[in-house]
Amino acid sequence: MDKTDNNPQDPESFSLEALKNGDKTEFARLVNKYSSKIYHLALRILNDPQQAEDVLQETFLKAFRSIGSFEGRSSVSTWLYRIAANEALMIIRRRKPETALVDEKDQDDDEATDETIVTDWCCMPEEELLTNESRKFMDEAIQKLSPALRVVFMLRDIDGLSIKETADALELSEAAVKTRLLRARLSLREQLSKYYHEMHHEVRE
Amino acid sequence: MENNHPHHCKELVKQISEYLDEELKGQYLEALQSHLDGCTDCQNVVNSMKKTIELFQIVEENDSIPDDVRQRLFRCLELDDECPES
Repeated sequence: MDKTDNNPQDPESFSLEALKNGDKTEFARLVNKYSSKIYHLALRILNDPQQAEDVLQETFLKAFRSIGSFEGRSSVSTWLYRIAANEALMIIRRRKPETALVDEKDQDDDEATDETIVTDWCCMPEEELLTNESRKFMDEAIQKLSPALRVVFMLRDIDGLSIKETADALELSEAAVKTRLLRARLSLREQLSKYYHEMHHEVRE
Repeated sequence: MENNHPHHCKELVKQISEYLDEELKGQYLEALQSHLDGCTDCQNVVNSMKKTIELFQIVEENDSIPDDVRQRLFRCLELDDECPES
């Protein structure tokens, strides 16, 4: 049984039976609900709108073709994210086969914690934290992560998959997911801290 | 004071991610919590990591799919009739 998406009382849920029977309206509902998330997942991983659109289309085409064999061990959304992440990672592998997705360092990483900025910027008002300029900085910050870290951060922190679901989707151990997640979060936190620290000082000067 | 030595902070920073995911248990959780109680720097790291994740979630939440991309998607899936108006 589908764990989360097929509760008939919930307008946000989907009937797996209808999807398996080729019900177009139900499938369109599914596409409508997840297309934006899938597109942005692919866009973040690839940083290329055309390739992100290719991944988006391929994800739903594959889902449409293989819904009959979907056993419902995960939720439909997790299944879609898994297809999309793998499609996007395949493109990354084609771009740079030599660096692919074997992450550089999966062991404990001292480097990431060498220089820790401890400024407290959390109390800055949200309109200062989320200006157009800072949003642009956040786009750049996420692109500075390796694809291997980026995909873990996106699936876990943005799309809300559990550690286990992320591990299953990427065929990694849970320990590897946790290590990559820590490194992604530390790197993003560090970059944003530097940025807000400088911004705060500029404002005061 | 031993517990607030920078080396100790550096070791504990590695557990912050699991702490935020509520995956840190038993003695590890107790050790981190007791350290956090007395270390403002580590509290700031925890709070700013939490805030970092929240900010990315807000930004992603508000990003919608471009209309033309969505229309091409519905067309390629032969679901044109079901494509909602933008």
